[in-house]
Amino acid sequence: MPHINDEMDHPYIDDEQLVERYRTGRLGPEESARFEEHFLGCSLCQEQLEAAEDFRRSLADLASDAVAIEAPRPGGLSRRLALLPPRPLLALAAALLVAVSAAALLLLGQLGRARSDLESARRAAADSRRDAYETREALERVQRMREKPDARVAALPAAAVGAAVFTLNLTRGAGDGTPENSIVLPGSPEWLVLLVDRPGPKAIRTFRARISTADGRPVGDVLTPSRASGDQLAVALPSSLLAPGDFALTIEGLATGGRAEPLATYSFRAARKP
Amino acid sequence: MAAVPSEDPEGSGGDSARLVERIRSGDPNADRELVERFGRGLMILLRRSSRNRGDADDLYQETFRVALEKIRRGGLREPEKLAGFLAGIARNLVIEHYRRSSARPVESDDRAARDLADTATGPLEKLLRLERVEIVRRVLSELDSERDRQILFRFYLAEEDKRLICADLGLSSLHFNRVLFRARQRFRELFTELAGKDNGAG
Repeated sequence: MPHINDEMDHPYIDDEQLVERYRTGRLGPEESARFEEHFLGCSLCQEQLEAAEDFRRSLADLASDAVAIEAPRPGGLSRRLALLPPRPLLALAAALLVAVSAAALLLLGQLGRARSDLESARRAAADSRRDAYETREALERVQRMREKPDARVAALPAAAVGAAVFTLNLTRGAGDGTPENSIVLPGSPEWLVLLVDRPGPKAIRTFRARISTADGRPVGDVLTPSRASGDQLAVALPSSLLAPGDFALTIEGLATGGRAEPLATYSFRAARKP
Repeated sequence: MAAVPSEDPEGSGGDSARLVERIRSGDPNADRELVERFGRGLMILLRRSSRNRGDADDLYQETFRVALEKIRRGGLREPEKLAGFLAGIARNLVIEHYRRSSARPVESDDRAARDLADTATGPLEKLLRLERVEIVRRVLSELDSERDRQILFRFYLAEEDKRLICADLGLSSLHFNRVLFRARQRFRELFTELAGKDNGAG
């Protein structure tokens, strides 16, 4: 079977690091165009591109976390090393030194701008450090819930941070009118995250979500779901949008031409925290 | 490095020509198949070229709309080059979009700014980010040597050239490729494993 671009085969792509060079904008216009024509029809290269970008971003996050935590505290390195397992941390510190040194050489010409950006980023990082620790607590809570799914609702009232997360099951048929899912509204306003299995064909990449009351009245504006772990969508909304009662969450997919098609509906009952 | 198949049946020119013919003849399933076959790749292209995800999503819809219109009008003279045709439309739409809004498409120097714009802000995004960071930490700890860790940091963060890193560390091109490939694969495996746990618990 003929290849989409006979000159752009995988040994060549690997050897020339086209995935990485394309991702970082280091391919010339012609080679970039040729590679695009190839990977548009090549699922393997698409996976490589997505994996490379996810990996790079996570690596950058790891490095920025280390720098952000370290930066505001003189003498903090020893404290950081004492708090965390030694081998990965030492490796990380060494690798960070390499990265920072190399980056400094490469970016010498842009040092002024970079310094200003870095200061802003450090200030922002310091401001958000407390959030990060709180978020870590939330992560641990979610992990505990994963281990004991039945404890999910019971654990929610203990939420001291950001968001309460609920997984909704698809509503099939009319049933007896009782919603299949339930959520707990917090006592004070906070964010709710509704997780649903990504509906519809895989090719649909753009979704929107609507929430309506049981009698069909829309609640709030159209929401934009984001992709969550695995094959799920996450719809985030402020809890203040909902009052106790029955609701329906409808996920719509945007088809070619911008036409919206309903893909799935999830009925749920919202109740106040006792 | 693991063997990489040299062909991708999904992208074959013959299939593309047949798909174009079906679109032209009004086959109602052909439009959907076009999106299914090329949607993911097109989104990668557009996300790399756009300043934010909102623009990429809009341009994604517009690319398919324009492409289908042109195909139906007979505007694609070499149907076996369907992928190139779509990529060309997408590139032109990106340029046109930013010309109209007096903003440049994303250049390599702008990637840091785009990363900042895409930085996780919502609670769920923060959770996912923390999960990814933990995974990458584990991938690094599983590497065979300090040198391999240096390769990843220098290539991905400092964006040093492969040849420079290889020369500096006395590596073969093959070893370099293998380290990158294995790290990405392991990252993917662990991420998929975690996603599987998510689904199992949901």
